[in-house]
Parts: sequence; C-alpha cells; structure tokens
Amino acid sequence: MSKKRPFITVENATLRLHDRLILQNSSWQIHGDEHWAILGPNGAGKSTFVRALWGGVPLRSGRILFNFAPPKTDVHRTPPRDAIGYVSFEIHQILMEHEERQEDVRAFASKTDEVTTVQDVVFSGILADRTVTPVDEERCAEIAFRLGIQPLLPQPITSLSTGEIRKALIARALMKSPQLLILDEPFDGLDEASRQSLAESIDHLMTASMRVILVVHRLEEIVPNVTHVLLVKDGRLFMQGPKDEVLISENISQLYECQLHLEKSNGRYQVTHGTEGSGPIDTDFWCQENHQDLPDILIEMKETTVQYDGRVVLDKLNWVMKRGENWAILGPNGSGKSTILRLILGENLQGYANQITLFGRRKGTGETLWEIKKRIGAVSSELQVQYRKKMSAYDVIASGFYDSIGLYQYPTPEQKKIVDEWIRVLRIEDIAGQPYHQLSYGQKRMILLARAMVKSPALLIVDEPCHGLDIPNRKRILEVLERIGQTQTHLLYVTNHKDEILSCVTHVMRIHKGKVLKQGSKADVLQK
Amino acid sequence: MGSWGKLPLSIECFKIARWFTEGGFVMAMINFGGVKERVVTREEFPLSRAQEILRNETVAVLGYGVQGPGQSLNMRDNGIRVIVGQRQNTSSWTKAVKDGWVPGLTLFPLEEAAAKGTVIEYLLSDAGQKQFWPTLKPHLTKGKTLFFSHGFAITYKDLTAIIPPKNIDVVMAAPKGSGLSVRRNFLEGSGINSSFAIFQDYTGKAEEKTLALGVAMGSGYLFETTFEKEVFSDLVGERGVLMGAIAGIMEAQYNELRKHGHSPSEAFNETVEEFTQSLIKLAAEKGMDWLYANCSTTAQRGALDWKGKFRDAVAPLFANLYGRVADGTEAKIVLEKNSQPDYREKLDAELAEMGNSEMWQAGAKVRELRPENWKREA
Repeated sequence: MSKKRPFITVENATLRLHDRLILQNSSWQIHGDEHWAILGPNGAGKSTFVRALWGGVPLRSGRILFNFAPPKTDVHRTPPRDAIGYVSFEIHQILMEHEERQEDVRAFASKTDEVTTVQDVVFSGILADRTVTPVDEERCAEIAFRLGIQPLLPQPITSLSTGEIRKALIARALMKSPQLLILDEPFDGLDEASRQSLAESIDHLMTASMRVILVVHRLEEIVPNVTHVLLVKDGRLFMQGPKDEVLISENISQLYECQLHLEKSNGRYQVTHGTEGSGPIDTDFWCQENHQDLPDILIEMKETTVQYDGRVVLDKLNWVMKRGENWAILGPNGSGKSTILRLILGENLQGYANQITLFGRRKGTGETLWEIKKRIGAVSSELQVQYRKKMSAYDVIASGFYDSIGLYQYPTPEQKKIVDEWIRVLRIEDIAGQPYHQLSYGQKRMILLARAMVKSPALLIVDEPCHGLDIPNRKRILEVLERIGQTQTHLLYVTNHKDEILSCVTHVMRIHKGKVLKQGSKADVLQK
Repeated sequence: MGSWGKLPLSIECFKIARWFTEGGFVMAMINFGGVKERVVTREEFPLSRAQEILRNETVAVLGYGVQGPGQSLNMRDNGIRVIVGQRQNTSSWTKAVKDGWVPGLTLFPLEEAAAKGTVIEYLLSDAGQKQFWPTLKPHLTKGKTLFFSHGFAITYKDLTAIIPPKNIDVVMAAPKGSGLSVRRNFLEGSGINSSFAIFQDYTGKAEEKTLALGVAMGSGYLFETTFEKEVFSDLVGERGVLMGAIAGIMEAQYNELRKHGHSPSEAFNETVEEFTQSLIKLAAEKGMDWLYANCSTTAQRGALDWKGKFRDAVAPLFANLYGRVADGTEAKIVLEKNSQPDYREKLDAELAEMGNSEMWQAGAKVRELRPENWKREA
C-alpha cells in the first residue's frame, strides 16, 4: 500500500442523528499507513462519527469515500461492510434485543431449550449469505483462543458477563478478516489481564494490513501503534493530526475543559488531574435517610452455589457484609462478580435455592422482591442494556424511586426536588431534559447513576460505574461515590480498575472462577 | 410501592364512573366506550392485601410450561408460598431447577405437588388437563381451591370429564399475554391485564382469593368474565381475527395480486410486510380509528369504503364460527383430532402445505432482507 494513498475520505460531511445535525461540514482523511484514536467528552459525537463510517448514521450532506474494499482500484461511496469490523456497546445492545425477540419466539413455540451460543454469535459476522466451512471453524477456534474465550463458545450468550460479551463481539468482528476494524470502547468491561492482551492483539493487528480506529476514554488505552489522533468536541471535529502533536496537555485540557497533565512513557500516555477537586458536592439533601432499622448484618451468603448446565459460576460462597462496611469485589471477567450482585438484586433466580439473608430476612421466607429493591440503588451495564424505554432522561432518573424500568407513577414534588438536586450534583443539567434513548452511552450512564442514587438507599450497588465516562465525569462520579461512602448508604462496588478503588471502601473480596480467593479488610486483602 | 402503578397513568384514558364497596374492597366501574365494566385494580386491591388473604395457603402450580414459569416466579417474588409440580425427567423440570426451584422442597412431581397445595393452579395443556384429571381429583379435598388460567376444561366438561367436587372453590384468572410478558412486565414494575371468573364458590371467599392470586401473579388490573365467556372469546379470537381469518384474507389478497402478474415480493410486501412491520404497530399505539384519520386521502377513502364490505362479507362466517364454538363442535374437533394415532403426521402435512406455499416462502426471503436482521449487522 503506497504511503499517501487515501484509505477513507470524509468530505464536508454533515450527519443526521435523530432530529439533530452533527459534525457539520466535517472533513477528515485517513491514509493507508495510519491508525487513529478518537477522543472526546461524553456526547461529543465520537460514536456517531465512527458509526457513520460503517454506514449506521445517515449522511445529510457531503460524502464519505472508501478506498480499501475489493476491487481496491475502485472508490466506494457506500461503506463496504464486508470489509469493516465494528465493535461497540450499540452492537451489544442490538444483540441482546435480538436475543429477547428470540426468547419470545422460543417461548411461543415452547422451545425454551434452544439457545444462541457464543459460537453462533461469532459466526454471525460472516453468515449473511453462506454456511460455516471447516476453514471458518479453524479460524473461529484460533481467534477465540487468542481472546481467551474458547471455553465459552458452547455457552448461551445470555449467560455471559459484559466483558465476556465484549470479547465475543471482537471475535465476531475479526472473523471476516476486515480491512478496517472500528473499536468503540473495546476495553470497557474487560479485566486488567484481558485489557493488556487485547491491547497487544490490537497493536499486533496494526502491524498487519488491517487499519484500526480506536475510540477510547482513557488515554492509557491508546496503544503504541496508533499514529494519529482525532479530538471530537460539541458535535464537531475539534482537532486532528499526528499523535505526538495532538496529545499534549494543553489540547487535552481544552478538550475536556479542565486542567489535565499528560505524560508519556514507553509509548503510552497517562493523564493526571490537577490537584483541585471537581468542585463542591452539596450533601444537604441526601443524608436525611439514616436507615435506623437496618440490622447489623446486611447481607449473608452461606455455601452459595449457582450453576447452569453443569457450569459452576459461583462455588460455595461464604460472605458477610456488616453494617458500616463498604465492599469492593474484584476479579477477572466471568469470575462471578455480577452473579453475586444479581443474587442480591433478586435477578438471579437461584437465590431462592440458596441460604441468603438480606437485611435480616432469609430469602424465600415470604419477603417480596420489592421490599428488597426498596433498600437498594443499583447501576450496571446489564441495567443499561435492559433500560431501552423511549422516555425523557428526567423520568428515567425518577424511576429510581420505584425501582421500575419505565415510569408508571407520578413522582411527588419532594421526589422531583431530589431529582433536580442530583441533576445538579452530577452536572447533567444539559442532558436531563433530553429523550433518554437519544443520549450517548456515557450520557446514559450518568443518568442511570443519578437514578441509582435518588433514594439515598441503604445499599448502593455500583458495577463498573465509570464505564463509558469521560475524564471529568469519571472524576466527578468517583468523588461523589467517595462522599456517599461516608454516609449511611453502604457501598457495594465492582471494578476492574485498581486506581478506582475508593478510599471509603473498608473491605475487599477477591474472586476467581466462582471461588473466593481472599476476603477481609481492605488493608489485608490488597497488601502485596 | 415499588412495583405498582401502571394504572394511575393509563386509567385516565378511561372514565371512572363510580366506586362502590363490595366484599370489603372497593372496585371501579370503568366506562369502556359507553359500556360500564367492573374492574379491580392494584390500587384498590394492593399486594399487601393479597398476601394477607393467601397467608395460610400453599399455591401449587402444576405445569412448568407456557404460563407456569411467569405466574409462579412472580408469586414467589411477591412473597407468596409457592411450589411447582412438574413431570420429572423433562426439560421443564430442568428449567424449573435452573429457576431456583428446589426438588423435594419447592419442586415436586405433579401428584405430590397437588397433594401439598391448598390452591391448585392447573396450568397443564387442555389435553394434559383431561389426561391428568383422574389422578388430580382425589387430592381436591374440602375447602381447596382449583385455579385455571383458561376456561376450556370446565366449560367443555362433557368432553373433558373434568367435573370438580362440590366442596371446593373453582376459579380462574387469565393473563392477557404470553407467559414471558407476564414475567417481563412484572420485573419492569408495570403489570399485565387479566380477566377473572368464579365458577364455584364453596368457601364464600372464592372471589377475594381469585383477586389475590391475580394480583400476586402480576396483574395490573383484572376485569370480570365467566369461564364460558373466556373460552368462547378465546376460541373465536384465534379462529377469527387473530389467526384463522387474518391468514385467510392474506392468502386471498396475495393470490389475487399474483393472478394479475404482481411479483411474489410485491404481493407479500403489500399484503403482509407493510402490515406487520408498520401499520399494526401504529394501530397498537393509537388505534385503527387514528390510522384511518391520519393516512393518505387515497388510502383513507378506499379503506372507509371497503371496511363495511369486508365486514358484511365475513359476518355470516363469524356467526357460524360463534355457534360452533358455543355448541362445543370446535372443542370436540380439537380433542378428537388430538387423540388420533396419526395426529402428528396429518398435522405436519397440513403445516408443511402452508409453510411451503409461495406466500410464506416469499415471506421468509423478505424477512431475511430486513435491514435490522442481526446477521447483516456489522
């Protein structure tokens, strides 16, 4: 491939997203020897832009030219999807929606045994018009091995954790040996080891003939072989150029409108904040609930075991969370972290087959799901997949008072006031009035965080709260959570990022393959 | 209450005509297009009341097939004592275990569950109910409640031989949706509409028990019917507009278009695809009247002119259909055909004829070409 040969050319393009025009009159060009990273605040238009490259967003004016699909001498005006691999949370959501429709179909026909396996999903990337060949099978096994998901291939896709699904989608994109691989937040939901091996894989792919466009929120995720960076802000292309020219403290501070310091070592970037916090956190309105009626033991699990078709996802877990404690659960993808949370939330039905005591009452002794939920606020990627209602973001936040998906009651004036206060504390005034389903992934996450907090619950369950959040939002959420952890609200916190373990966390559980490796006080567990 | 309340927002669409007290709780008379009907909502009949009424009951849900999972899981999550009865070594038994029912504790073979339950939810298939009845009957001891979600077995008792003992309550609550939507709506915090009916009230408490079970299984509101009306409307509906009539008129229109040289894809798109992919969704949201009021004037004039002609053309068929449902002819055919030794082969042949028809083959292709088809994504 000659050096200056264009790969994709965007000429005066304006995109239409719902009823909004974004990236007005934008121009951009990738050449055959370049790999790009795209950065920008939540809601800036990054995902919309890369989705347009794949043909998923209508072009209002201008044009996008593609020079890489066979025959390569031709310039294509429609995205050559067969040559583009695309991984994003949106694809994850489409997959889950599809799976939900399949569940309806299966239930109607009384064929509840049928499942969509991970292998089905991986193959679906190439199967629009043909059947699987032995070569495909070999390739699938090889890709799955490289991503560490080989044992998952025969499993139902619905039994996977967020991180595992992300890996399955990456495998699916690689199946067709794309010329262009678009990875929108590929590291989100992955554990540390997986992030490292994926970064190595991506870096390796870049040395082959594949071009990669990487959308990330964490600068440390920009792999060394990325050559160029595009900054997107407020629905327009803010800055673009060679990596080292764009990635300087001044530009990044401007991009996120806060003081940031950028460092580079071993080809990787690292960002550090200025010393000042993200601003005062008004707590007057959320500490009234003191949860006096809580027992000394909030959660107790005895020999708790969960299994599906012989696959043990939780193995004889013994765990006690006491009043006054904040816990973090750490462990690789598929270790059982989400299962623990789902047992507490009543979403995992095998809770009824185990000895679990929640807020002083043994599960299955006549308590209602709603009595338990009333005490809990929760946010997770699973919830974000399930929450697909067309309603205002404000109403989504208010639905937190009723633990409903959708709003089926009128919030009281007092409740509305609390919603308003949280909107202010999380600084989401600009998106709270918008239709929820039109928001970006990171914006939705901020709304769901507010939804989880409005009740000032006895227990706040946050599963990777910073997924999809930009630098300022991440900082703000962590500061707010830190503050919440000092109140009567107890935190149960799941994260794959060591640097995000809050100082208010008092206890830590390390879990691996469904078994507890170690649990106890933070100091004991985290010491080397 | 976290879960309740689909109604407060939607009830405003109806007019609440008046309230009155009956049997200790308030019911609403709601005006449906000029006719007032008695409706029980979760507002008037809260979950706490349902729990109180069912406090000493063990609800045995027999059959973990179509309606069993949704109803039993919702009741369990609503704090009701529930056990499941299911034939062992079946895929439904395995599914029940996966769903957290514990063999020997909350999951039993059918007969054992029937013996343990004070409320028997009889959710086997129509044919399954007939077959299991002789085994079940001895367990229906004085004061127990026999609960159905379908009026078939009781209404066609001459055919099913399901004649309950006189000293039990026989009741029904029937969710108007699939088992899956019963569960899904519950988890989202909304609910599903159900009908309820009392066939036999031995204890004098049949109605409050029925409503309690209806609310506990996740109903948003319940409207009153009888066993007979439920099964008649159900059988007429599926033979008529829901399944039989709709497929019939689709075939007729498709054939006519094809006769005049329209391609299969055009004929299918104009007959089925446009209907299922867009119009019916709008009708669901706003009603057919709104659809008529808001379509193009060309479509509007034609639809108004032809609606009456179609109505008049099929009216005699519906009269005939209702008569055959009411006199038991239709039910008799079902039970007789189902019990023939070559039932499966004959059925497969009939279904294959439909499946292999040009129209539904064309349909498969059209669906494959839909842009949202997952296999074509990314």
